Amino acid sequence: MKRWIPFGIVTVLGTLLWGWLAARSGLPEGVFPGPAAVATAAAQELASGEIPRHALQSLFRYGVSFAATTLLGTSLGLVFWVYSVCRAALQPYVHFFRFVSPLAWIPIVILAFGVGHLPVIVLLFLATFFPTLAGSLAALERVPRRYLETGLDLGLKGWRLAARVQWPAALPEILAHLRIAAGVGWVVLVAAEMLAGDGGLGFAILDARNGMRVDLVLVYLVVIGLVGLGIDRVFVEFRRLARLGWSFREALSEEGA
Amino acid sequence: MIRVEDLNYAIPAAEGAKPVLRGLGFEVPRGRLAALLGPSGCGKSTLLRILAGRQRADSGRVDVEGPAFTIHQESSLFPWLDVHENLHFGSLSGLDPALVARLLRVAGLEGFESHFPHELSGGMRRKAELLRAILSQSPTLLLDEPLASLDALSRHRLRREFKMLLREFPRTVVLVTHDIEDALDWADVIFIASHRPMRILQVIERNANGGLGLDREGLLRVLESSENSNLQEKR
Repeated sequence: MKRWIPFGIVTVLGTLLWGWLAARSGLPEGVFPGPAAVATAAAQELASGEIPRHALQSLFRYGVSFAATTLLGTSLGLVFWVYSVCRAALQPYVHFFRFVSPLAWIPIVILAFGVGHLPVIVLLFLATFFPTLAGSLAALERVPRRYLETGLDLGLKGWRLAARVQWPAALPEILAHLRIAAGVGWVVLVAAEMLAGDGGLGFAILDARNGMRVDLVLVYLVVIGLVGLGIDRVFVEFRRLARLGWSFREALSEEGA
Repeated sequence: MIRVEDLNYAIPAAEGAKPVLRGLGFEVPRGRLAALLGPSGCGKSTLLRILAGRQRADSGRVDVEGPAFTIHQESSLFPWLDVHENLHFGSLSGLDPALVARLLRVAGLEGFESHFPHELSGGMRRKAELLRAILSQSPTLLLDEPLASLDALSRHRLRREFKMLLREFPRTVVLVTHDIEDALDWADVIFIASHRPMRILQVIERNANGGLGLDREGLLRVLESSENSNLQEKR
């Protein structure tokens, strides 16, 4: 059976059940809208350009913040691995901040940066940077010793060994950590935009709630989920690349050998 | 050439040091393949690490014509690089393309240059590793049970092809194994090693006609008698 058939059946049945519940609940459509009302609201929001506007604003903040996380989190992981003194001095702080909820930073960030792009970007960075750095370091430490020894046998040392052997060997696991951080980041982005944003999908949900538009709340909820799935898809596609997806394929080929 | 004299090494432990190598000594002439045949856990891999210069012995003397190149039990081809890139890895001045092409042909890897390690069979991965070791120009190769994960036919074929390659590109080789077929098929000289703490119990050398003077059964008898005398000494 094709994979989409069970998914399609569940979706159709779920939508029918939702419509039936909305019709039988006795609640006004403004409180419990059915699928048709939500679809109409989605069409209107799309036509007016509100959905793309909010989505692009969120994606801009997300993109800037996640680029900074990826660049700093992974490269500092490599610096920590090469210079053990950095690791000894700073690793406890990395783990400490990893356990501080990004939402706990909200008062300080709003005080420092007000509302708009910057506070959301900073909050998102705080949510994803520390787990990415800790994950990168763990991935670098778990590289099998035989790869490093082979690199040494082939004449590499220090930074060259780190960049040409340690880093690519750890990359698939680093990508797995980035994928988790990407999911966490998207969740935090919506919450941050509700509190410190002046636009974006999180802000749009809050705005719809303030206007008592449950149908719009549901529309933006679906948009948030769909964009999140799209972001995750990027990571799945990365794994398909031979140079990045090797750890999974290697395991499979050795099982079958 | 490899020369080891009166080598001692013990693992520090809370209840006192646990000796792994005791008074170990042997010599492998340049360009010869020596098989170190011993029971599991006797300290063979520790010895290879000392020969590779990754671990210091407590006492004794180790002379290895270096740098040595180790082929590990598990594949250490870099999985993020294809065969061509693996073979050229670490070569600053670049390799002679004709030589690489010839080695690939001899090893039966022609046409697989752009394949990644996970796209090769276990035997092909091992061959690519040996080619990389040969191309690295290291005069000494240390092989840590390189055929352990392969089936009998692949092992047989690989031993034949490795021998051919080593005949053309001579290297001093120490092969650590507990498989007597590896030793009989492959080695110019066989060192029979004792249980831990390891020392050499017996040396069997290939004669001028290329024979070892004993077959599988004969080697098993040698191993058995070596082990018995080793146990008697311990008592």
